Amino acid sequence: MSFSATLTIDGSTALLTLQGELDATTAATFFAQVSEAAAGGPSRLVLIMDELAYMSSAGLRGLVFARQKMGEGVEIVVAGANKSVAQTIRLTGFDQSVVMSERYLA
Amino acid sequence: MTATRRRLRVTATLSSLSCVAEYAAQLASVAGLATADAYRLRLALDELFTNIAMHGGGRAEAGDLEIEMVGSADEGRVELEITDRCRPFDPVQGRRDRPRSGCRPSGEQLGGLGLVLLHQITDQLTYRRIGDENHTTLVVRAGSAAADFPNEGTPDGAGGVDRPGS
Repeated sequence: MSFSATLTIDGSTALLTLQGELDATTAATFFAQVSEAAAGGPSRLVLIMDELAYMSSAGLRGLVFARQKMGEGVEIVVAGANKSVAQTIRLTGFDQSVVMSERYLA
Repeated sequence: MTATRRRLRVTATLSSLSCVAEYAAQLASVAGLATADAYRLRLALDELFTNIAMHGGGRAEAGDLEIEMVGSADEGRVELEITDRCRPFDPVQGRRDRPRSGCRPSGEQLGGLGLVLLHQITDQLTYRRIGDENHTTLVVRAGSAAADFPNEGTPDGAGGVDRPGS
């Protein structure tokens, strides 16, 4: 599977751009980048998913990991997820712990 | 239309997952499933396969176990029987409830996330233990209300998020 997670720091916001297919074989990359983002102590984490084609429950566990690593005070935004990925997040109730957004404005 | 049957036999390790995804895509194509229904089929098979590969061992060394899939693709419908000789595991009796609205999934629910999805995105899910084999059958039908998956690939959600300072 092809997957990449690219971390960019913009002030107090950590931007994590996800591309490709996120499943059990690629989730470790996602977890590692979330840990790196958390180490910087941002006030907000934005997961940019415009180019994320697929996400299984392995990716959902990454969202929980992000919530745990960041702490309750940090806003986590899921931006640009395609409809199937967004529906996968909703079906398991994770839309309750993140902010779902159509896009991240440039 | 006569149903087309396709078989795949792979080792029960995550390295087989890309083959499994391609297999699901082929079945979806033969059945003429739209994008969202093909996505559901792939996701359902992914969750079931990954669960077996990661938790189904116990009687053999990793890599010794095999999983066989027999798929039947008909017009707008795919039925898949997944057979493995891992320890007994009934996904139908696994967690099927979506976390209550307003509640965040707790730590104890995390291991069952794949099963939560599996129940919601399939149109039919059955399990039988025959001898030392698990036989799990799932069905995905075109345009069903299962999971209410959208048949488009456009972004979802409302509104945008401003960049810091913008």
